[in-house]
Amino acid sequence: MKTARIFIVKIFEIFLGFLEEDVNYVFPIYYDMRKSFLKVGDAKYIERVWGFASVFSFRGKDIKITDLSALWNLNKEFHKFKYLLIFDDYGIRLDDLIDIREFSLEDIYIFPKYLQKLLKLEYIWGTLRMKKSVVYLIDPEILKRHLEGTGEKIL
Amino acid sequence: MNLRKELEEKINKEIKKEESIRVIIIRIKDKFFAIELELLTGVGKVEDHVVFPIGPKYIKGIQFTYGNLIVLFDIMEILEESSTFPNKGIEDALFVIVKYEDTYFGILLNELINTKELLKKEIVQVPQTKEFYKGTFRYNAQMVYILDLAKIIEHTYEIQK
Repeated sequence: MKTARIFIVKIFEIFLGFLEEDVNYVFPIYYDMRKSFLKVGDAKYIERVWGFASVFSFRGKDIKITDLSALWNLNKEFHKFKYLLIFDDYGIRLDDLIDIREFSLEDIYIFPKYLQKLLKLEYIWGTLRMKKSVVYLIDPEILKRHLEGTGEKIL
Repeated sequence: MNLRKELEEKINKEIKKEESIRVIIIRIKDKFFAIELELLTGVGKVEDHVVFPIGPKYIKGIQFTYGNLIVLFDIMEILEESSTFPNKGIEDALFVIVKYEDTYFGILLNELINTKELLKKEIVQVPQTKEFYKGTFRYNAQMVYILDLAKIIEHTYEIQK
C-alpha cells in the first residue's frame, strides 16, 4: 500500500497539509514591533523570524515570508502567528502544527477541478478527510508560481 | 412471435427512446425542477459536511460521499439570488449528485418528487431570457423547469470574474 508522510498545519480554522519532503524547516515567530518592520535589505541582520517581517535570513539565504490568510482575505485584524514553515526559498506563517503522519494514498481525494478553476486554487491538489474537517493539500511550488502571478508583494 | 414483428417492436422502442428523456423531478423551496437522469450519479444526504472557507455563497460546503468529494451547490443562489440553504440549516438536506468536468456536484434540494419518462414533444421551449432552463413541462398541475446544469456551472465562472 503506497503511503505519503504529510505535515498538517493550521491557519485560522483551516487545516493545510504538505508532503513532508517539501518542508525544510519550522521556526517559531517572535513579536517585536520595532524589529518586525525591518526591510528586505536588512535581511542579513535578521536572525529571528519577527512577527510582521516580510523576510528572514537563514544560512545566507533570504527567505521571503507570506501570509496565506491575507491571500484568502481571512485576516482582517491583528493576528499573531506562531510558526514559520519554510520551503525552498519562501515560508508561510502558521497558527499551529498539528501532526506529521503517514497516510495511505487511498485516503487522499483529488481536490475538485471546479473549485481549482473557479477560485484559482490550482495549488491545492488534494484533500484528506479528518474528523469533521478537511485537510487541504498544497503544492508549494505551484503556490509560489501563483503568488508571483498574483503580484503578491512578498514574492 | 415472428421475426418481422419482433424487429418492428425493436425499431419502435428505439424511436421511442430517441423521442423521450428520463428526468428526476425535485422541489427546491416552492419551485419544481427536473434534471436528466443520465446526468445523475447518485443521491445523498448532507452529513458532516465542511464549509468551504473561501467559497462563494452558492457553494455550501464539501462532503465525502461514496468515495468522492462532492461540492454542495445551492442553485437558487444563481437562479434567484436567494439562498434556500442557510449554512447552519443545511444538515440533513438532500442532494442529487451530478458529474460535470471531473467534479461531482451535490445539487441541494428539499424534496425528491418522482422520475418521469418525458416525451420531447411534451417539453415547452422557454424564452432566451430563461437561459438556465432547457424547457418546461407540466407535472400534476405544477410547472417544472428542466435545468441546464452545464450552463449554470459555466455561469459561475463568469460571476467569479
